[in-house]
Amino acid sequence: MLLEQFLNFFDSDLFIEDFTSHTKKDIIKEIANLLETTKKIFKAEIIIDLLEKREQLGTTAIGKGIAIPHCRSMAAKELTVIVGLKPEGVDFDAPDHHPIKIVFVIIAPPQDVNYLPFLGKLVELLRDETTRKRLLRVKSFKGFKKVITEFLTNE
Amino acid sequence: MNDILQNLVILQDLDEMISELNNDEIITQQEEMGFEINGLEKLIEAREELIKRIPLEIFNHYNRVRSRYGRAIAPVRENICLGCFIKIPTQISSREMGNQVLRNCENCGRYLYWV
Repeated sequence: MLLEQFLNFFDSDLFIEDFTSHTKKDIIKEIANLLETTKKIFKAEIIIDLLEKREQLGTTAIGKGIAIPHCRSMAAKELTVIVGLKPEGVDFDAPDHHPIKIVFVIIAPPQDVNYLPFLGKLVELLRDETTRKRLLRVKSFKGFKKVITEFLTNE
Repeated sequence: MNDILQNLVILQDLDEMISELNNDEIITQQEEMGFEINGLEKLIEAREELIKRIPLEIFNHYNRVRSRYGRAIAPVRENICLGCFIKIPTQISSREMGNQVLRNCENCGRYLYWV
């Protein structure tokens, strides 16, 4: 996946600087409501239901403060990415039991070919310790995009 | 939004999620990325619960169309069924209007969902 193509999936309108919610369940609702109000999906309840079912399959928290809830849904018009911060941390049933401070949500229509490559690239980026630590300290979309861009250009 | 249509959309997404779990390549990819995949039984139970909220006749039609085309619900954009690319004859001017009623594509029979 090309650098620019990867970066273009991040959108300032879909960046939450501090979730108002304090639980995993409510964070999923907050994300789905944002998707509905920004008209990325027609009905928030569909995504809430699916993301909750995806969590039943196994937690999408990958540890070290990061969770990546993701699913394919025909409710999505295109691959959509939401990034949300929770500086105080929230329990997301992470395997290392650490509270989650950044949530990346990826929703894609069933036939979308960028879904797995995007997810793979994101995981690769988050495995880089320096980038991950920097991301855990960002406070704004501008700062977030700077960290991502620097990782990708230095690769 | 029509309640049955909403449940059908969730059912189709859930069926796709379950069928992906039968694909070893996808499972391996997900596990290599660090995701836990261990709750298939819970998903199957959730599907059984969901089916109870869908009238039998509609569920049977869903299964027939799904076995024929792979997917029983087609997204609609600009009044085109994206399952068979036929224009929907009914005048639907918004997503709200389109998703208020459960409709089938007159050509392919798929249930229609305005995205």
